[in-house]
Amino acid sequence: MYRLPIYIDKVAQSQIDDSSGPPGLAGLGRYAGPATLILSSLAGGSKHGYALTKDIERFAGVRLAPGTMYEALSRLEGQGLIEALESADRRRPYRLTAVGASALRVHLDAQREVADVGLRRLKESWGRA
Amino acid sequence: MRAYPRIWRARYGDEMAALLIDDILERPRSWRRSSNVIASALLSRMRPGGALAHTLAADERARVGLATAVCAAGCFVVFSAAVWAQITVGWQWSAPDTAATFAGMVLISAGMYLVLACAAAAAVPLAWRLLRTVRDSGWRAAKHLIWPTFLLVAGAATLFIGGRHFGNGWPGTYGHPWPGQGIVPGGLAAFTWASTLSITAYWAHPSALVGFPKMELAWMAISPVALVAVVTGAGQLLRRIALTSRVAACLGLLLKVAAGAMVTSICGAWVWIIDGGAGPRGLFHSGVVDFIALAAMSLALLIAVSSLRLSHHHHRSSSCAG
Repeated sequence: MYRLPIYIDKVAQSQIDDSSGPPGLAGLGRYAGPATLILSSLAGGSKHGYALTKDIERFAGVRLAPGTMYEALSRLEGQGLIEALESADRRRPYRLTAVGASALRVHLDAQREVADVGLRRLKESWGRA
Repeated sequence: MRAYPRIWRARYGDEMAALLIDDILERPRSWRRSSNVIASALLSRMRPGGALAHTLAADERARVGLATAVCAAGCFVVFSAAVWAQITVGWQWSAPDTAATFAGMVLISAGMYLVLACAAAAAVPLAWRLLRTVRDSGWRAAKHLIWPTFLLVAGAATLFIGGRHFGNGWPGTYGHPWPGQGIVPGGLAAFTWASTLSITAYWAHPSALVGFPKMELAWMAISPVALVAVVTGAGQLLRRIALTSRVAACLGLLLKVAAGAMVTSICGAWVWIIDGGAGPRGLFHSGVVDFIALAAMSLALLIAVSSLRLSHHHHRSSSCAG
């Protein structure tokens, strides 16, 4: 279960490398999984670290540990997929950039293709999707 | 949070502390959270620019990559020298009695000589750039270079003086009546042994340490500081000095050659350890401290290669842009 997102990311990356479209989540390595969760959460609006943790826990059932969360946030920010917003207190919110939205779309499309193939083959071999 | 590099804390410290406070309020005790933060902080320390290299400007990133690779190579040399010294000192007395240990020793020596040659070759353009900077702008304008230069020179001088002093006092090497019997000159073996005297399993045996001469114990405390000063000074100098693209490319090339030499040394060390050729008279016995040194060497090599890739990426981008 832990390895699946990494495999999916490689599939997505190979597709992205061949195209001239948005950069996808290439270069995030083992942080591709947390990055997908963070980008998906930010697709619903800007959030700070703790709000991201709670939102991801709600929709994915995964609680990102603080170290992993900030490792992924720094990489996403470095690649221009998210940006930090000004904040009056220490809880600095982040929002998805246009590049980040395109990358997330490409990545999720690739994931959906893999999921579709898997479900179709399950249905062919095991009788139900 | 103190475990994170300063550059990381300056950018993310406050907001991550806020997240940690919220998380602790919800779940007061969590070993998973603690271990995750510590592991993440340590990983950040091992990456160029405190894991924030990707947020730096391209030329700064290349400089950070080179500096980190040099520091990693320096750490490699320290641990590799400790392993190397142990068996070269043994060889001053008697040659190993297995072909595998002999081959391992040759590989380690070849790797070490090549790494040291690369270090000497890298020092030339670096010293040239330092002198040019000082000559063109004077020490006053180049005062940001004083501290790393001091660290480098003071550390190297301490190592040289202490290494010579304690190396000469060891009857198994330079003081031996038949120096030069092994494949490494006795003086070099003695100096390497004395410089890395602090990397020893004796730390796990305090009762044995008590019997050591006080001066030797003092050297075991001072020499690691000198080694750290040399490595830190070289790294900081690379970070602060203005490198031309030609010098940066030259350093990158030397580091690539050094990385190949590091692989050779690690292979040699593995051959020796796997062979387990302890004889004759236990002179080539390997212990836990050698495994620890080997793990540190492998980690340093990984960091050096990943840092080199970072700086190489910049050079490739620059040449493509050019």
